[in-house]
Amino acid sequence: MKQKLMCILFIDDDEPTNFLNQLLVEEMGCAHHVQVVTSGREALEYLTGTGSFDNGKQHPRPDLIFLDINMPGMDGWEFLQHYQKLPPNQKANIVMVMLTTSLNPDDELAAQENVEISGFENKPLQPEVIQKIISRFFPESC
Amino acid sequence: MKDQNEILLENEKAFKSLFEHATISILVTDENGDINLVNPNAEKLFGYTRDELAGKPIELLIPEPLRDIHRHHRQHYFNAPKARPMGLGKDLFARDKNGRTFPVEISLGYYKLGTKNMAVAFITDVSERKKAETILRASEETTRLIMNSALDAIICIDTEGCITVWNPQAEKIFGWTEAEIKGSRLSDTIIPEQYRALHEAGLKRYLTTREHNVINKLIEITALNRQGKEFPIELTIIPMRQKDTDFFCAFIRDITEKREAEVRQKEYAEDLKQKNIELEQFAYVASHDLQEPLRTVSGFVELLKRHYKDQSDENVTKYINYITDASDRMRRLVQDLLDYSRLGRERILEPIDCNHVVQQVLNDLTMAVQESGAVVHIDRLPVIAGYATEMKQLFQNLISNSIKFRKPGQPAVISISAMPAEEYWKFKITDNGIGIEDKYWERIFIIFQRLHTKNEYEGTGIGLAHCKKIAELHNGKIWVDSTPGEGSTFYFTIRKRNTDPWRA
Repeated sequence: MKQKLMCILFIDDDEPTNFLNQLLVEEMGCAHHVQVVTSGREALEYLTGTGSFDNGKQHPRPDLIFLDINMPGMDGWEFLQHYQKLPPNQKANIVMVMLTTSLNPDDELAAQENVEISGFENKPLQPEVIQKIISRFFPESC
Repeated sequence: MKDQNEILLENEKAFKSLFEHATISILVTDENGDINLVNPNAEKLFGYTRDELAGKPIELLIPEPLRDIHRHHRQHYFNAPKARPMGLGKDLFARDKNGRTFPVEISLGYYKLGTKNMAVAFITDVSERKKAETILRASEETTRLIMNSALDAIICIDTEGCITVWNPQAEKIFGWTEAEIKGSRLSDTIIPEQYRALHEAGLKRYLTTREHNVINKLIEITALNRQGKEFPIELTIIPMRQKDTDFFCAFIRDITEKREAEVRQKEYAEDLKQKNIELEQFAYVASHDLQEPLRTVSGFVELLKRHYKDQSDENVTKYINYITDASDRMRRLVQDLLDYSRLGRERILEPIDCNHVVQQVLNDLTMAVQESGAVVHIDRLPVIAGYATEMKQLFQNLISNSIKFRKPGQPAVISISAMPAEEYWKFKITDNGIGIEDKYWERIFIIFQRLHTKNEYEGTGIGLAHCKKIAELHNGKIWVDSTPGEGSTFYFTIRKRNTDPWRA
């Protein structure tokens, strides 16, 4: 790997899942920073530097976002509606990948139709999947 | 022996009397069409006295537009006079003193008076008859229209079982035209083989004894069309009598499509029933079988915990806790799923006093009520027909939700009331809690859908799904109205039964 990604953002309400994903990325050493948030609302706050992230610190803009679909309150789809309205400089370079345990084929279809979404992967996240995504969207980092 | 004069006198008397008393109007004209004689009936018919008419041209009694034609016909007649009925196939009209035009029938005779030809007209006013004919024609037209436009095939048969009436719909349904089938026997045409003997016997029996079992009611049977295809029909046979003649009228409807639809519907209902059973069974079995491996996981995690409880590596403790939490949660989810699928499984409708139910629920929730300082106002509630366990759960879920989702630092104030409507009871549970954004008003009733993370509020997200299923088990609905930050009102309806008393 020539170059590390600046930041990967995981949006998932399940804490153990976040823990495992963070561990995986850290072990692969493919990003300088891994950010974990447990709701769509918190993710928006991170991206816009508001709420709990309005603390004067610079937060690295994510290169890659992994988004869970099924979350309490604001789910993945609702997050996307808000995300689409963000100014481009807050949206990052990003490749949005839906990461889900959803067995509903409708979700995959909806994901294909959404321009913000570049991929649809099932949990649990495997190293090969991350590798595949990076080589496809960030060839200079391979 | 009477002499010649005497005979003549008697004849004259007789003819005069005939002329004077005839109930037909008689006019006599000469060759020029001038009126010579007028009988009393003609005076009455035309409104003129015989003096007024004497010597006047006959055209006086003809409507203006027809006078020239009449004059022409009259001259033509005297060229070769003979006795004949007049205006055969033509409508003739006369005109009275008041100018009224009316239809007449006329027959003509003639006799010679010296060298002159005299014409005798016998005139009948046919206004009444024409009127009656018009009415009859109109009524026949109406009948024809009804027969032609009826959606039922209308078929009449005589006492021999031969077809006398066959309307266009019958042509359409059975394939024979009226001309082809009129006079044929019903049992040689549309009656299927297996019913022919019955039909013949039934007809004979009715005509001799007036006993019947198929007449004057709607029956479903089959019939044959021209191609010999048997198809289902709805049939009503009405016996009729006209001028001492019996006949039978049948109204027939092709119910092939209706039958097919019925069959489809039945299959669909059966299918749905089967699917529902399968689904219930599926959820039950799935959640039941999921318990088994889960117990294994929990069991071994407990074992690990005990073995490594002195382990200094905090990661191990962390991992074990993750597994414990996850398997606990899984157990709760599976249990909830099991409960959900069992809901209303063995239900018996019974009278339920909702006042008691709510009281019971509040007793069960005493701790939560006291700890949160909740205040609950309860209006008078009805006695309904419902399922006891489920109703209790419904109230319990809604009340405990109101307590659970209260505003931080503010005691919950909950009001419970019910309103009767025409077909159902409408219950209302209002709180002053955190409220729900309108975009989530439907999602909250879906199983395992939650609005808050586990850290904010405990729970699997089954409660309102239960409530929805319970309301639906009672043929009701459940919905919410809410203002975020101010509170929520949950409504649900329960179908009323006639037996529900309104407890005062």
